[in-house]
Parts: sequence; structure tokens; C-alpha cells
Amino acid sequence: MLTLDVLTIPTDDYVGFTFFTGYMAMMAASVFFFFERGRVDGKWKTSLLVSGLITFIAAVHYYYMRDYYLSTGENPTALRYIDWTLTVPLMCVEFYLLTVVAGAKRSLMWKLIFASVWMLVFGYIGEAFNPEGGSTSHSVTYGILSTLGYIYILYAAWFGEVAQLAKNSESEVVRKGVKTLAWFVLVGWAIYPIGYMCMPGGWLNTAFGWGSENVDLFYNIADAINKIGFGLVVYNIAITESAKVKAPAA
Amino acid sequence: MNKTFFIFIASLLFLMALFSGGIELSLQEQLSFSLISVVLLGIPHGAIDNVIFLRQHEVSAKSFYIFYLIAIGLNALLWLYAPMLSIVAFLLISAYHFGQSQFSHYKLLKRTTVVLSFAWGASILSAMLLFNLGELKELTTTVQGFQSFRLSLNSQAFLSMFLLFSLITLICLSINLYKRKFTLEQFLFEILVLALVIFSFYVFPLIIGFTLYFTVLHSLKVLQEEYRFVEKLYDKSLSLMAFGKLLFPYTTISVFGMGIIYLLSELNILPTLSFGYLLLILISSITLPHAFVMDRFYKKKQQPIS
Repeated sequence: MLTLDVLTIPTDDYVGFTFFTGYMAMMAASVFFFFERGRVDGKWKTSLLVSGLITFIAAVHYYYMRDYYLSTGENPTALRYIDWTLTVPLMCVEFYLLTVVAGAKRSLMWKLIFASVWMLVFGYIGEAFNPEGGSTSHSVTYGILSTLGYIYILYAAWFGEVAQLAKNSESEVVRKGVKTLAWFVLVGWAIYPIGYMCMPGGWLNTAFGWGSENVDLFYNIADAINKIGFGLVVYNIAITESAKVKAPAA
Repeated sequence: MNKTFFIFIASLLFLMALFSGGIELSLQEQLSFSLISVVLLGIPHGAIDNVIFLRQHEVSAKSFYIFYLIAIGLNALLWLYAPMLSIVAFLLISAYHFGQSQFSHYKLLKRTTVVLSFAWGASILSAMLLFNLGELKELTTTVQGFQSFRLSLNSQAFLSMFLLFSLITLICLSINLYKRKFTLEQFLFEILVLALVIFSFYVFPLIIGFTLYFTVLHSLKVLQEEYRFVEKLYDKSLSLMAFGKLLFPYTTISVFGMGIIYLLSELNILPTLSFGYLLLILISSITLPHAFVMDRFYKKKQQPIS
């Protein structure tokens, strides 16, 4: 009986609909990446494993989030941030794995992981622990701190260590792939501060009266595009580079 | 993405974080923010017009300065006697100047260059007027000198202009993409820039939004181009400090000159005007010859920016 209640989605509930499709898409992508891992050259196997892990972790969280949403009708903020705190650093690991052939040091990976965790932890404190009615100083402080982490990753991907290593890479596919991932960071990740803008006093809240309930639709779509898209870019690099390795032997 | 746009994105995000908590800056605070940014970046970007023009043209320094000062003087006079005509002229010149500098590093299809430059600038300026109509109306009722513009503040007209010029911009960008003057990445990048500038005008108060665009996206880019031009003149790598030293005296003279005019107005030697209105006249007056110099600069020298 309980299961029946949980699975009922009104036809006009787009948020509930995207929680289901998001869950299925993430799970399907995980299966795809795990199976395709066997087809790529050894040095790309870890990259595909990480891609699969990102979508798999997200799928598990989406499984819980859709139930949480359907039974309470509320925005599952805590579950989302737990998901992001695990998956976003893994996306940063992908940058490292793609550029390791061009000489990336492990310190780059740790710097990116640190910046992503910094961004998410301060974002979570800013969004989840905002006092009733909204505190300006709280939002501003944690908003700025979180933004610092994002700016660092954006800089690294477009101009910093990641971009320089990709530039030095001998592979055109890797260069283009890292550039595409940098676009994901610039455009795709820019969706995430929407939650912040919907808090009391935020511009979406002031201009359109949007609250936290409005952000789920954006988050679900953005999550699917970013995580699966990110993985597919990595997959494309891995499969193209593996084909190059196999070609001379054939 | 170039570094100028990265700085624009970073500034936009920090300002959004600042405004996301519902923070409200008083007009005084907004003007202070604007004044500091304009003195640091806005004025320097037009301060070495003389260096640029005189290096590129066979004109004596004396003729150039006379032309420059006459243009400033005539424009200021026009403001006193025909403010409506002046503001329309100012907006039209600014629209072209902003668009021209935005696309200065591309080799565009010749037939679209002027139209795209003007439409891009007109699109962002009409967005600025459309999304800040409330503030503009308040300005026309509270600040002396702005009353004559009140009747021209029509949201339908601004909306129509915004849609029309944005459409023309998109068509011109698409034609250049089709003719391979842009790569797909450059095309998408330009769409993103336009969207974010319009977004910033929507989200932030008028002064903050305009200052962000004008100082970072426009002035910083022009400064970068001027830096490369001067570097070529010296025929060796130019340190930022050396470039700063070149800008400093001209910037100081500009700020000092504007201060003198303000003082003369306060002392009733020149017509007494409110600070805001006088600032508008001064900005408009220095924009006119600067836009002319930059037009010649871009036509003579098209250099790519990485």
C-alpha cells in the first residue's frame, strides 16, 4: 500500500516526473559506462569507472530523493548536497585523469577536489542553515565563500593547470574533450546557484516569487545533462583514443 | 573564453552572491562603487586616445588636441540647449562603440560589421533601459536636469527595440557563423556574453549593472588592445607597470579636468547642474571623440586576442 502511494505521480507534476526520468537516465548511463569500460584501452578504464560511479551515485540519490519528494512534497536539499559532495569531486578527478598523460601531478587532483568540496560545503551551509525569513549576512558570506571554489575550478579548466596540460597534450581528442568539459563547468554548473537565488531575498524569489520548490525541476534537468554529458565526453575521448591504439595492430 | 570574460563572470557571480541575500545598496554606495571602478578602468581606457591616434595618423598633436577639445565643447553645449537630441546621439554613438569593441578581434563579413556592431550595442542598451525603467523614472523625478527625459520612458518602445536589435544581432551572428567567420564555439560564446550582459542588467540596479559591463567587459578589453598596440610600438615586451605609468598622467589629467568642471559648476561660473546630470554630460562629451578615435583604431588595426 505504501509503495502504491509513493509511486503515484500527478500528470502535471513535472518535478516528480523528472525525478523518475533522472533516476532511470542515471542508472542507464551507469550500466552503459560500466559495460563499455571493457572495450577501452587500459589507461582509460579508470576514467570510465569514475564516469560510471558519478552516474551510479547520482542514481542511488535520485532513488531516495524521488521518494522523499513524493512523500513530503519538499525539496530534498540535504540529499542533493550529499550527492553533489560525492559526484562533483569525482568530476574534478576526471579532469586529472584526462590530463595525467600530459603530465598532470596528483596535487592538481587534490586541489580540484578541495575546491569542489569547499564550494559545496559552503553552498550547503548558506542554503540549508539560513535562519527563518532569510539572513542577508549569512547568504552573502557563504555565497561569496562558495563562489570562490567555483571560480578556482573555472579558472583551472579554462586558463590554469588543466587548460595548460590539455594544450600540451598530443591528442587533439583530449584537447577538444577538456574544452568541452570546461564548457560544462561554465554553463552546466552555472545552473546550481539557482537554489541560492530562490532563498528569501534572492533575485528569483523577489522577481518571480520562486521558492525552493521551484528549483527541483532545474536541478533534475541540469544534473542529468551535466553528469551524463560529462561521462559521454569522457567516453568519446576514451573510445577514440583506444581505437588509435588498436589501429596499428589491425 | 578570454580572460576579460572570465573576470566579468567572476565579478558577476560575486555580485550575485552579494545581492542574493537581498542586500540593498543606497544610491550613494552604488555611485561610490561605480566611481572607483570608472576611475580605475573606465577613464584609463580612453586616456591614451592621443597616443593611439597620433601614432596612426599624420596629424600634428596640436590639431588633434584642438579637434578633441572642440568635440567635447560642442557636445557639452548641445546638452545645454537640446538635451533630448544629445541623449539620443549619445546612446546611438555608445551603441556602435560598444558593439565595435565587442567584435574587434574577429574578421567579420564586411556587409554585417556595422549592422552587427550597432545592433549588439543597441540590444544591450535597450535591455538596460527596459529592465531599469523604475529607477530611471525615479531619476527623472528626483534629480534635477533629468525631467525632460520623463516622457520618453516608454516600456513598450524599449521592449520593441530590445527584441528588434537582439533579433538583428542573432541574424548577423548566424550569417557570420554560416560564412565561417566564427567557429561554433565563438558563436556560442558570443551568445553567452550577450545573454549574461542582458541578465546582469535585469538582476542588478542600473548603476551596478552598467558599471560591471562598462568597466570589465568593455574598458578592460579595450585596455588589453591598447596594451598590445603600445607593446608593438616599443617593439619589446611591455610590463604592466610601464603601461600603467603611461596611463597614469593622462588619467589624472582627465579626472582633474572633470573635477575642475564640477567645481566651476558648483561656483556658478559654469551653469549650475546636479551632480548626476553633469556627470552624464561629461561622460557623453568624452565618449564622442573617444568613439571616433577607436573607430579609426579598429579600422586601421585589427589584432586578434587570445
